[in-house]
Amino acid sequence: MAVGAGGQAVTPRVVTEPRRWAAFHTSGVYSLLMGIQAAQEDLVGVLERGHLEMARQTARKIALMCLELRSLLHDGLPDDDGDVFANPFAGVPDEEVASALEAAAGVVRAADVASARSGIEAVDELVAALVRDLGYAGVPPSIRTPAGLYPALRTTRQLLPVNKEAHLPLVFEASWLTAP
Amino acid sequence: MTVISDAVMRRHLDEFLDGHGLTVSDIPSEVDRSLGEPVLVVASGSVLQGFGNPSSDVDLYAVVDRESITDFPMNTYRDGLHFDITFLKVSWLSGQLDALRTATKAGTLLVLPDRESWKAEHRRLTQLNRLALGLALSGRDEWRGWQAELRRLWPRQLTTWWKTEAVRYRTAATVLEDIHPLAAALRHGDAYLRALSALCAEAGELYFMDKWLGSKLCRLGWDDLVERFRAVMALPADARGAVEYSARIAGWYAEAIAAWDLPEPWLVLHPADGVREWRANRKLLVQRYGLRGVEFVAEHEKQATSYDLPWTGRLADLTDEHRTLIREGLVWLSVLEDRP
Repeated sequence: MAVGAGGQAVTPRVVTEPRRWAAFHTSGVYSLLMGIQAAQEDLVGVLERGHLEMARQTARKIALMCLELRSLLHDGLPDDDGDVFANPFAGVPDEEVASALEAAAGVVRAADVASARSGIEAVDELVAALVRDLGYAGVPPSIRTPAGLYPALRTTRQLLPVNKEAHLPLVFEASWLTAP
Repeated sequence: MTVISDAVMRRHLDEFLDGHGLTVSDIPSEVDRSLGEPVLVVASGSVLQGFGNPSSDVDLYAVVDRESITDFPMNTYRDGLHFDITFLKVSWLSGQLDALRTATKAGTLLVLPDRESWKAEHRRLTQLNRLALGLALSGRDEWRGWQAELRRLWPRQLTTWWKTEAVRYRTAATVLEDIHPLAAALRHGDAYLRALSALCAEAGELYFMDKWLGSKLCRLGWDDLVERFRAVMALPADARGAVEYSARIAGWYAEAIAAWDLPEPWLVLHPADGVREWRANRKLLVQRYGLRGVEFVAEHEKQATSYDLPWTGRLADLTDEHRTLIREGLVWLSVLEDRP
């Protein structure tokens, strides 16, 4: 099977559980575009207004969302809002859990707004690692900007068949599919 | 109870729009009239609640007398400002006040016996929150009256939601303690945050979005609870830390709910979303999305293979089988005041 444009060699990697691969990439892209990036924007914005408590909650939420997505590559299950028995740490190696929570700690445990601001970089690095693992060449533009909306729709068109063929729950809200 | 007034919401909106060189009179032109003249247009969201920041958008809700719409939000941009416009049907809103009147006559907990009813209520409250805690920019008198009545019913419904959720998360946390200490710690924290949200709602902080909880506590001047909120944010990273964290927060939870006389709940367990049965001879695999499952094997040929869901009972009545299904993520939990 030809992979790529025939130029530089592409290194193959064996994937033993393609359905988990599909779960990670479909949920991952959706969560990145719809939740994580919005939370990153919020984090900067709320610190500008001095809402330190909301910044703590937002940084924590970003770390948990990243872990939840990582868990899909291990023992985790796709997110179902309101499922109180869900385990976002399922199967994720201890050091990965500690590292994600540590990345958020600079904001979560910040003494003041200034130190929380300096903690944003570690949160951004955590998300950047996720972005790379999702296969993006660079950080996609925010879906909340005109530049981000159409690339996001193109990506969802690419992922929808993956989502369906893997028989995983559709990550795109049902109402999107029936939009006028 | 101090509830945010129209005048305060208007001031917050004016200040925010002014930063973008706009005024309130510019907003109605952003609402697409192609679906007919809205009977009510409401501006809503964090900006109006005083929680906005430079990257915030402005949410607009337009109520139209037309059936062929979805709640797919429309985006529009003006002078760098992002407007999110959601259309709501008159027919959907018409029945909501009666439903709220019925719900608020019920007991201490909302009656949400399964996943579907939980989802429907969550969605309903998300939409109604925007209208109850929003500023009417235009509308017919009948619909402005509808909004006033919604605001009268809203506090009780919101408070009851948070209490019900506190009980549900606390129940889950208790079950998870012996199964996944880290997940249990997370849910103990979630239960306490929901109890705090109920306290905030009782004090007039009625905005449904839980991401503003810390800011609500600050605005209410509850410094001791702000400190506890911060402690909840700092999640443990290992099992030993999780046990200590859970015990500490369980104590705070008990203090927070002490005045409410919450009932001991009936647990209702249903198969989680995506759970299916696969059978092969004497074997039954209960699996979710084909990613995780639990196998049951009948001891002899004629024995029926089955598993014990749906199930209703008290926390103390949970069996090892239930705990196994819970551990594997195959169960949705509801809590009820009265046995169904």
